Amino acid sequence: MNLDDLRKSWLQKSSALDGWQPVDRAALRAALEQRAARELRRLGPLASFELWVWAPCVLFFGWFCWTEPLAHLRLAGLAPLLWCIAMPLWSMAQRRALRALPLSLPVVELQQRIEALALRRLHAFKWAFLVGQVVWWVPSMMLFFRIVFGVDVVARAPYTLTLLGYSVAFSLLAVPVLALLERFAPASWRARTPLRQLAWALAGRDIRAARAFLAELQALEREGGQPATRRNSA
Amino acid sequence: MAEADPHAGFTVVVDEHRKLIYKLAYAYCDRREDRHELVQEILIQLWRAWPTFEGRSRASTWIYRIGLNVAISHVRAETRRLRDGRDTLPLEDLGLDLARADASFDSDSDDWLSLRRLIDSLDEMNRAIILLYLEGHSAEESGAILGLTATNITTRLSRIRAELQSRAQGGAA
Repeated sequence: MNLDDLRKSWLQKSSALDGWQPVDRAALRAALEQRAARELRRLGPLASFELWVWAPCVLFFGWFCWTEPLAHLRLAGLAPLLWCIAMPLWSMAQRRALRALPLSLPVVELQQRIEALALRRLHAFKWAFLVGQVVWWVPSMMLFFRIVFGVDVVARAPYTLTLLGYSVAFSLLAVPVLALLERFAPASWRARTPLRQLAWALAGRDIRAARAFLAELQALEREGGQPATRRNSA
Repeated sequence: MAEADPHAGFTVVVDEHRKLIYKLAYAYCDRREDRHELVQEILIQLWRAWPTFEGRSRASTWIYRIGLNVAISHVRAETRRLRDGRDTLPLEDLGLDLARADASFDSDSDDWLSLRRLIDSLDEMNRAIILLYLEGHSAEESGAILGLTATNITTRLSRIRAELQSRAQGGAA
């Protein structure tokens, strides 16, 4: 069995499709139009999940910053407010960049661009997690005590700032520790999906996979002589 | 004055190239359900991209590029978006007789199983190269679709050929 024989089999099978009835063009067009319109409605600049989560958060933290008289508590409300504004903006930019990619580019070029975008997204997730620890943990506690009990927890418990320090240190340590765990953990531990997913995401396993695919694409271009000529999309 | 229809001619081109779309999906998806989902995804992406098609390249080149890009991204995606019933295109009703195509392509003859095994053993890019070879495209044409040189394509094909041969010898031994 060689490649030429396989090609003959392939072409024989292809000829079996010659008996297909013509496509119902009007129905196909109507179905695609309907589908595209639905997708446009569904894929706004933000996913509905994001709108439901971020909009109330922005309103809530905005209201808190506006009404809170104490400066350090306003600052504690400002951190998650900025985070809640920055994250959906970043998400929108990512989505727009992905949608702007012309699918008719030569395959290697487009796959490289998609993978580069994926790398950026994965880095963003990692940093969002790290910054999120600092932004959410202690400020949330301060805001909770202020809103529910009317208490300034920093004035009442000065060790809050120490707690903030520990929180930052924990965030910074989390990534190397998870990277080590992910690398040296026994196979049975790795098989546990939630742990593995979190460790993979934070330790950069996904990033490594994306990098490996990029490297593979670059190697593909290098092999066999001169780099391929880029052509404009059709 | 009436606006020009941005999708004029689209269904004619799809009608002419629907076999190609099915075969492309077959090369990337062994399971029928995945294959049908991929055919649907390719059709939708072609529809979206059609207004930007200026006809500078052949329609088949344009379809190959979009189809392969969608297929590779589809295969690489860790989690597939599950479509609900409302979002599924009624492909059979539209004249895309996928059940018949499946019946023809999911054969269990020795030749065909060898081909399926070969395709399954290749990575995404080599799968594209072998598909274009099976479809009878020259190394230059494949290079233009993939964005690689003809030499590169020929080198890759030789490796695939050698791999197939060593497998056949291994099987015979």
